[in-house]
Amino acid sequence: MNWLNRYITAVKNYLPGNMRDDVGQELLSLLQDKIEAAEEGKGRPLTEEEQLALLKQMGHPVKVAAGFHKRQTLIGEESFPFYKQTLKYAWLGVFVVYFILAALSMTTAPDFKFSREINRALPDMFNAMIYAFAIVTLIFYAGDRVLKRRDFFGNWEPRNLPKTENQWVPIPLYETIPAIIFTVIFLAFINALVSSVGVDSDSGGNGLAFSESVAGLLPYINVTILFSLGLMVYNLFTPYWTAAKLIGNVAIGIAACAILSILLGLDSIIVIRGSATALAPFYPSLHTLIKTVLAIVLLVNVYEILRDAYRAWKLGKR
Amino acid sequence: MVENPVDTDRFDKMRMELRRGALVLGVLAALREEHYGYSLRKYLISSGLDIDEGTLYPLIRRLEDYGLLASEWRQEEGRKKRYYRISADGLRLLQELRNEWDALNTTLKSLLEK
Repeated sequence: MNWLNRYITAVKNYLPGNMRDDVGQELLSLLQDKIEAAEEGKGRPLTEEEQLALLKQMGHPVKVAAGFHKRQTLIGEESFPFYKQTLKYAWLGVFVVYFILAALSMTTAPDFKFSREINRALPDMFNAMIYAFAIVTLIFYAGDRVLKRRDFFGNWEPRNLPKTENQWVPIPLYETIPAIIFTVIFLAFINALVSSVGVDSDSGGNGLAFSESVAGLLPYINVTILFSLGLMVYNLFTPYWTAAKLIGNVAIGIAACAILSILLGLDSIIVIRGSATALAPFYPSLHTLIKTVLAIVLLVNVYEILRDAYRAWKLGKR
Repeated sequence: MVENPVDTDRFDKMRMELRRGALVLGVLAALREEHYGYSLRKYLISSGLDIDEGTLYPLIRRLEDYGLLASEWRQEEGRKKRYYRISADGLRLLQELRNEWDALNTTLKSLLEK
């Protein structure tokens, strides 16, 4: 009986608290019935070996317990192919970014040492991959819950299929997935990895970092990016523009323009940290370069706002 | 039945898929008479429906969660046993499933005999 109790206790360990005792008691009763039947057949009590063979036949405690769990998934079957593809490209993107950074470091750092750079870059890359994994998983998990709650696939209406007159109405996957990946990597970098993008080879607090004013804007940048990501994930399942989605895109664009304008008005966007004084001569030109890039992004955003507003008006008119 | 190992594997998968839905029908039908877990399995096997323990016992509990079965613990020969029986909802569902099964059976029979 000792083996039975040990087996039941092992199974119970893997069961949710609310069914632990009930299922445990029932399994015990079932096993006792099996042993009784086997003993009747043999006309003698079962040996210890025979009891153990019977438990082995019953199955591993984890497997037995798993049968009683409700079937749960983090990412639904419908979203999983997109999730897998996005994750794959996100990791590839992280790898490419680190490869480029390593190449830049190799060509610019005067005291470049391969083994030291590898030792520094590998943990950073591993961290970035974990961030990318967590962000992609969270986005898809949240998206999946929303889709399920709204019975998105059940409520599908053929009438909502996109109009085919305008070439720009369909949103191809080859545009959406890279856009999601780029945004996820960007989000990961500005939140967690910015310190590791320093040109200085010392690990720790030396190199380039955001200024305090930029850090203060980070929550607004994050919210804007997360809304944008939400829309992109939604675009995976409804790969076509509608007037409502275009208006959403315009709103996100306006928020992005507001943030970019504030950034352009700041005296300093990046600062040199710690003893990375070797970077000081490059600081003014680097700052000008960043502001130029931001100005270009702002102009592209303004163009996209106007374009999307016009498209929304065009779609809404019909 | 099928000699080639790859074919056996494929056959087993298809067989499992084919049987999955039918097991619910079999269990509901068997539980028109009261049974405890072990006696139910023996009854199903003796009727020609061999069902793995790891499938049967969680299935019974799921059916009970859906309100299709009712159960009660009883003390018997110094041991507690949980007896299951089909509920009124379960009986109604069984009748509907049976109609579905008969229709499917007729259709498949005619398709297979063509």
